[in-house]
Amino acid sequence: MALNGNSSHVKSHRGGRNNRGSRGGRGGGGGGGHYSKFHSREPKTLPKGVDPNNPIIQQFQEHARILDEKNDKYERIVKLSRDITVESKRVIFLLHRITCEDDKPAVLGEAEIKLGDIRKRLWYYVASELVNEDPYKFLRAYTGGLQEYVEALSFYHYICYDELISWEKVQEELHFQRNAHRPKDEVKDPLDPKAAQARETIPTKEQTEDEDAGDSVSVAIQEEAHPEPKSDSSGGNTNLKGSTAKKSLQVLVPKTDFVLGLADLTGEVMRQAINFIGLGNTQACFDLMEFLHAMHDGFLDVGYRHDMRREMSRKINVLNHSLQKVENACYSINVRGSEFPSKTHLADLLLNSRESHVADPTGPMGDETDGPTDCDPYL
Amino acid sequence: MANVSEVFRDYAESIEAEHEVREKVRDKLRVIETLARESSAMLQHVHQPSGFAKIADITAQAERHLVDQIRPALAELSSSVPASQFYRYYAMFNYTLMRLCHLCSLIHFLKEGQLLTRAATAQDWLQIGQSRADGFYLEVDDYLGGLIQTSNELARFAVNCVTNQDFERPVQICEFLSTLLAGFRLLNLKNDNLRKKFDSLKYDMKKVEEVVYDLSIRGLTKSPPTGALEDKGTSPNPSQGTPNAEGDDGPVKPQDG
Repeated sequence: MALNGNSSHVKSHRGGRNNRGSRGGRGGGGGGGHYSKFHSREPKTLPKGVDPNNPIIQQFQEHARILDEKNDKYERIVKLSRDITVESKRVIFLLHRITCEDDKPAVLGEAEIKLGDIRKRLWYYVASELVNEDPYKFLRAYTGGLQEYVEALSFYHYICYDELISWEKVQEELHFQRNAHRPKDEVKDPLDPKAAQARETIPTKEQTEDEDAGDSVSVAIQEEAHPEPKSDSSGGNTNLKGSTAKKSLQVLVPKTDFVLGLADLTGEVMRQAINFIGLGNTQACFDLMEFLHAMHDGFLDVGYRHDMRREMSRKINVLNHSLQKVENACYSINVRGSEFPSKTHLADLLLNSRESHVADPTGPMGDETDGPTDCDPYL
Repeated sequence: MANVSEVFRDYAESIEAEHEVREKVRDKLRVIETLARESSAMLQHVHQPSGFAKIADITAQAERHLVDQIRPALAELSSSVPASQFYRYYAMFNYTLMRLCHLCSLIHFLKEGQLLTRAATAQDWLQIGQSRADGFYLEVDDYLGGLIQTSNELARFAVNCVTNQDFERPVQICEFLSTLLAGFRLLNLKNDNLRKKFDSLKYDMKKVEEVVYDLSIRGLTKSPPTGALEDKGTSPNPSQGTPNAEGDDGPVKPQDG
């Protein structure tokens, strides 16, 4: 299920399981993607003795259809969100492998590609699903992936630019533009029969509508690695009725979810600080502590206001522990640094400290394992 | 670090703004909840002998109350929710909408003996939308939840009908619930609230069937209930007797079930 750096086809990376690369954004008709094909779109066989002409039965069939569409879409988004979570965690592990300045270009380059992949191969499809939908209706389905992605993205941003990423930048990342005949899907795997089917059924329904959902902002974001192919691609096999105007999609990033992702970032920053001690870079620890203090101040300001989710207070709790760990580390550096035969010894000590009631998933050398602090209740 | 505090300042502003909206919504909601309780109390009278005698008056009164008071309050609520952010605040008011649907379908059934459709509930009774394009609208889930609340109420009512010497109404209620149940069975429900409510519908059905059984073995009902959903055109179905005033084609012979 890995997003291989070298694989460039959605198909192959999803190969091992049912392809649920949802091709259609709309709830209606056959555009719901492969998964929806499991649910017959014909009227259900009614139980014996039930009159299909009874208007009440017909109404309930309609209710069933509406509920099915919503549930199917929700499930598709949940699955994408899980993938996003996994891939984002991988980016974070990757970023933790930076040991010195020289490592940075290579690792950051790879991270950038991976983040781009998450965006194009996963978030794009979430955005497709959300076309003409109220994003808050499906927020629960993708908030887990979103928070994890914010964590990865902001960590990357921090290492690159030494600053905290803004909400606007994150929201921009999840903006997409789509050409009328969706060349991106077509170039992926022209031989795939499902894609061919999708090509035939989708474009007409979606591209003829020109009303704006109302939430999508028309900011144009160009794909970095794959510029939109201009009208070359296979314009022939789609029966386009509408214009070739670009359509704007986005995945809404509510500010609260963004901030929750930032809370997770602080955990990673803490780990990085400790890792750097082990690598002999004690100055980094102090720098990161300054950053954590700023984050802590910010959270104290907003974290306890009304309507906050329980999750927020839980994360602030974790932040407090992370901060304490780093503060203790800095203290140890100053007071006890000379006592230790090697820097790694000090790092070991700091990592194994158990002030935090939350189990610290990092091992002695800063090797990452998945820990309970990263679990998301929505998954 | 300057930009960290910027990020949080920005966030603080946005939650302040959201908080204000929530306060407004909460205020409007409180009004509706009070009115809904009044309406419920009114309708409760039908269970008692004094009220039973004047069901028509009670339903008329409840309907007037809905039109004159609840509907405008609902319009107020609807305008307090920012356009295109319906689902952001949905969890605040969806239960109330469900209760209002229940009141509508209950009143309608007591008056007409029929199921109130979602379209009619939204358009005619509550005067809100039916889909996202309408801004503030009635979700299918809330409509269905309301129907089940009505079924719960009617199951209780069936018992009280008998107490008040009305032996025909329980039969009518039985058919109604049977239709509802068949309809609900067509849904693919997830393990959510609606699913749990659906279970209560089955218990309601059972209760009312028992009432009808009690009546029919004592010969208290003039017309035993039909399977209201029969496909009346085709050959043998396990029907339970002659159909009542639904106006069908041709006689249906009672069959051994």
